[in-house]
Amino acid sequence: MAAPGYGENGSVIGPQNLPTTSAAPGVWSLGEIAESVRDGIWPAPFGGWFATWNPGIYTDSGDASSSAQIALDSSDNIYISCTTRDSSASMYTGAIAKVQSDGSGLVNNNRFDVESGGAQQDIRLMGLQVAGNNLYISGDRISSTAYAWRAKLDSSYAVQWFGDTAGDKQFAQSGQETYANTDMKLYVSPDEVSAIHVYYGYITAFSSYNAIMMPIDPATGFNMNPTTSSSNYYPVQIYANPTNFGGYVSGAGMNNGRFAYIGRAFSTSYGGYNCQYGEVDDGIYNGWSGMQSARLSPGGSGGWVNGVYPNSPKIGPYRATGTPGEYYWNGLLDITGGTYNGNLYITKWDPYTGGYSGWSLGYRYAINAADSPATPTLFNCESAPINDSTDTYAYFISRDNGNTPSQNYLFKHDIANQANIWQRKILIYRTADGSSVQNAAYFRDLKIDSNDEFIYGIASLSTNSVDRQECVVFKLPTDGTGEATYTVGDYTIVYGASTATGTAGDILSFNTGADGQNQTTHTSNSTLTQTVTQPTATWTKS
Amino acid sequence: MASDYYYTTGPNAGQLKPGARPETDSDDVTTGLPEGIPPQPDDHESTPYQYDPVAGAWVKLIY
Repeated sequence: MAAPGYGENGSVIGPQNLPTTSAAPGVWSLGEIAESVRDGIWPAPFGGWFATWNPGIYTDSGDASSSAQIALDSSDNIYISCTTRDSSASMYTGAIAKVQSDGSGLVNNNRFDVESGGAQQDIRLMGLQVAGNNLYISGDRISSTAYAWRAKLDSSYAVQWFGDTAGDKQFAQSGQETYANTDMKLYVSPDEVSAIHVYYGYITAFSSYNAIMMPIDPATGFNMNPTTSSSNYYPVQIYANPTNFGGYVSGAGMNNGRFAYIGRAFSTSYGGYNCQYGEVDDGIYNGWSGMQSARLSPGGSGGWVNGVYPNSPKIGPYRATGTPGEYYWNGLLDITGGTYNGNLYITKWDPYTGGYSGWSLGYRYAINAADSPATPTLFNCESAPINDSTDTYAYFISRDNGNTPSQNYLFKHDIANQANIWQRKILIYRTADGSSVQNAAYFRDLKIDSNDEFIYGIASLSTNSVDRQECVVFKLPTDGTGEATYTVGDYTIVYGASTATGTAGDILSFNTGADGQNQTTHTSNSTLTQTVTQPTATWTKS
Repeated sequence: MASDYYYTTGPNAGQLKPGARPETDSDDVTTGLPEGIPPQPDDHESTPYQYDPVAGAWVKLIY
């Protein structure tokens, strides 16, 4: 027998209300409240979840997953990826899956292999971007001669293109080892008009590895220069001074109009290690000469002896379209050295009105050692900050250095008002081993849905000093609810309040010098084939 | 809203205006290592390293 409806006989007398999961209008009687609770309509049920994903590709003892990524398509379908390693065969390959929105299971699970002459290549899949309904993936081949690669798949995982017009293997310099990671990867604008492939390789003249930022056409995968030589879309390379220190990108971002990069950088001209960053249109028009690039130091002083620099800074684009919103960026800096050593610092860059020094709205978080049993002293940057659809709130995640365990911290931050909205710690450990042994989760990607209701993250794991096959995936409400201890398969996940101390204030100092140039040594060669198969995964939800 | 740094209209929209780009030292390419920094590892051509000033050592980026 159906339960009586609201305001009907057998129910309660009172005004007719139509509660939904997000609204409870009108004047409520106690009975109506009881009925809504009974029906699971109000209060809104918790829609978040934690889950573990084992792609089921390499499942022997010692095999492991790494470089996990997450992305949402325009309909908020959830895609995840990682690299999976066969330890006994020293083989690597890629995994991609689609997750049901309620976390109850996978829609599909895929293995992405690359072959050369019929032989499997030990490739790592380290970048996953979804634009429209297409998946843009990227990574490298790890053994000699290492190369970077990029590909576009449709939503059925059919390969649309792989590599460049001149070849499928991408090298920073001919014959030199070239790699990728979860920051140096393929970036695609949400409107699929532009893309920048970031990777890094050995440059013999510099005696070091240096990052290249290559504009490509997302429709074909071809690089913009020299394929369209009249276009002036030049790839650029950053480097150190002296060059032997190498030039690496630790964070990059892209929206429909602009591209930006950031990284820890060395320069004897500017006191040793500091931070180099730059911003340019999404095609890198005019190459290095068109890029507004400079250096900053948190805390007002630099120098490697008393080094003050962000260790692995990230940068995230604003989502506003057009001028000037698409020029805005959030920088997230994990400060090493100086007065604010160990702080996590978020700040807005507005190059449109402020040029290279147009950073403001700074806010730093100092870790509270009491939030962890392992007495951590600092925050590490793990993934780029993301904004909600109105660029009101930024979300970011950071890992502490406690080790036994290391915890992650998820923040909701009011950018304009320089205020923390909420913060939560995330502790993940194998239940059988406990939390007091080595434990770390590496959240290298964070996303938000189109309604600003949920944020999504994914991490590879190292627990009890063993790299694990499972990745942890979460979907959590943006209102911060869901604090609890979850049991997910072999793992315990504690999601609870944290108490990092927040302080508003601008602390950056700037130098105009930046080291970069148009990249002229890059090359592509060879033909590779790709295979997509469907292994059986293990998915466990809280 | 106009910008002192970028063209906002016309064929150069989105590009830096002349003089808006900060001075760079891109011509100042030097090699070698400062005094006190240990030499690059022998396999630094095949394996990427980054110098960690806290540890005072070159750290592999690939494991």
